[in-house]
Amino acid sequence: MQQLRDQLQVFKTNLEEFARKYRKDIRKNPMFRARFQKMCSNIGVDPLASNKGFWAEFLGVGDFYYELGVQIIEICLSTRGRNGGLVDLDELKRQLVKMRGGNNSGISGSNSSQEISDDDIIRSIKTLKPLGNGFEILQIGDRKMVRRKVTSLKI
Amino acid sequence: MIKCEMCEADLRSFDVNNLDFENDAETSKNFKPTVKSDFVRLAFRDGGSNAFYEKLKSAMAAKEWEKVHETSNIKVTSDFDPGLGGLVGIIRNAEQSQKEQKETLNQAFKDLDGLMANTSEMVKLAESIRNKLSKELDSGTSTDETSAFRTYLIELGIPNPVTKDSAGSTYHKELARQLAEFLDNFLEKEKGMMSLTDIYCLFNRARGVALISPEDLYKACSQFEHLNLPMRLRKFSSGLMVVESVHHSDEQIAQRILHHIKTKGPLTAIELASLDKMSVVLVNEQLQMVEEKGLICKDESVEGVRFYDNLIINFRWERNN
Repeated sequence: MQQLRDQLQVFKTNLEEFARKYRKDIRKNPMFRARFQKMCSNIGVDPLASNKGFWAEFLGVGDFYYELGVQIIEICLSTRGRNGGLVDLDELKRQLVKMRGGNNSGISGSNSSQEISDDDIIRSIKTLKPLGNGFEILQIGDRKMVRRKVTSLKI
Repeated sequence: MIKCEMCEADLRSFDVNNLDFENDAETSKNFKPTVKSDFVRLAFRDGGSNAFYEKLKSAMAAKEWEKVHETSNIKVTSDFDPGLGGLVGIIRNAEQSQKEQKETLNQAFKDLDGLMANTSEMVKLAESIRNKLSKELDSGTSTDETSAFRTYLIELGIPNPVTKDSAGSTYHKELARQLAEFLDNFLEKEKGMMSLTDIYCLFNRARGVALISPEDLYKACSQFEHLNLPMRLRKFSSGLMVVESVHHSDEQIAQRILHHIKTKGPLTAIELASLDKMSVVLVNEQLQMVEEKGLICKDESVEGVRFYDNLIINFRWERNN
């Protein structure tokens, strides 16, 4: 147990070092983010699982994806009247960019020069699973759609 | 020390043995004019004269004082050189910055790989400890060690399946308390029930920074009962999850819906939702629940689904004799 504690300390320092250099890049560069996520899942670590995690604290990955999640929910909600709860991934991305680019005073004052990749969106949606709201990604032909589960009662 | 020990030279104004070798200008400045010499004498009391001589030789060979002028000349002329300016210059700049970006990215990837190697070690260690402690963890007893260990797992991001144990980590307990306070205002307005998705959005927006993850939210809400907070996490059969206030019972909801139907006639889910200003998803769940209680009836037609007051259950046969 003590060994774990010591190793954790070493790990923390390493992570701090890494974060110092690359925190901004994580926010700005979607390729970097994607690779980071892939490596984490290879090891079996989920950096988005909790806000208290090291990853969120030092690298700010958490905030990025949670905020994206909130925005995705909002967009799906607002377009539901138009498309019945089924949103094309490209359309969603377009709306997101509009929301983030034109709005400089977003949740965390995010700057407008951020790129969102498809991978970011898919990961955000996966992270939203515990809320039980039925967001899922369907593949229809060659287009990916985001579906919000509507309950079984027919309206 | 007024005279140098080695050569008996006069040392009136300053201590040569403590000279800062790199700084010739400094030396000549400090040299008081009373001594009247054009040279600086350096005494190497502890050796190192060879190294100094080498450095001095290379510095003299490099002729930095002449070079400065050369480069500044080039800069001036490049502005007038049409070959470097204009489109070619712009393209070259773009290529240059792209190359730099790629290099930093490669460097970043290398660092990332190093970090990941570190992480995987940690994970293996944590897993092995978890296996050893698994009996304790599952039984729900929380010693200091186990709750500290749970915190570590969360910090690393290792998925820790929410077992039936009621002892969550302290972080989630704190979060649960915050949530309860926050939701107190809203639950009344929303008729005592809010979907987890809505709560997630509202809470994070209110927070601004340091957002919480959906998983955090879920775990915190599961702690409500354990902490005796006046709300509960509830999962409907369709998978929808809500937080509802304890004060609010199903009975109240049923009565409210029944009242609407009795006064306004048969309603669809959408109409009911707009009456109550609630989300349709929630209303659907409530309607289903009330229907199961037997207080309303459902009519499915091509027009949609409409809910009626359940007259059948209260019907009394009147014999017409």
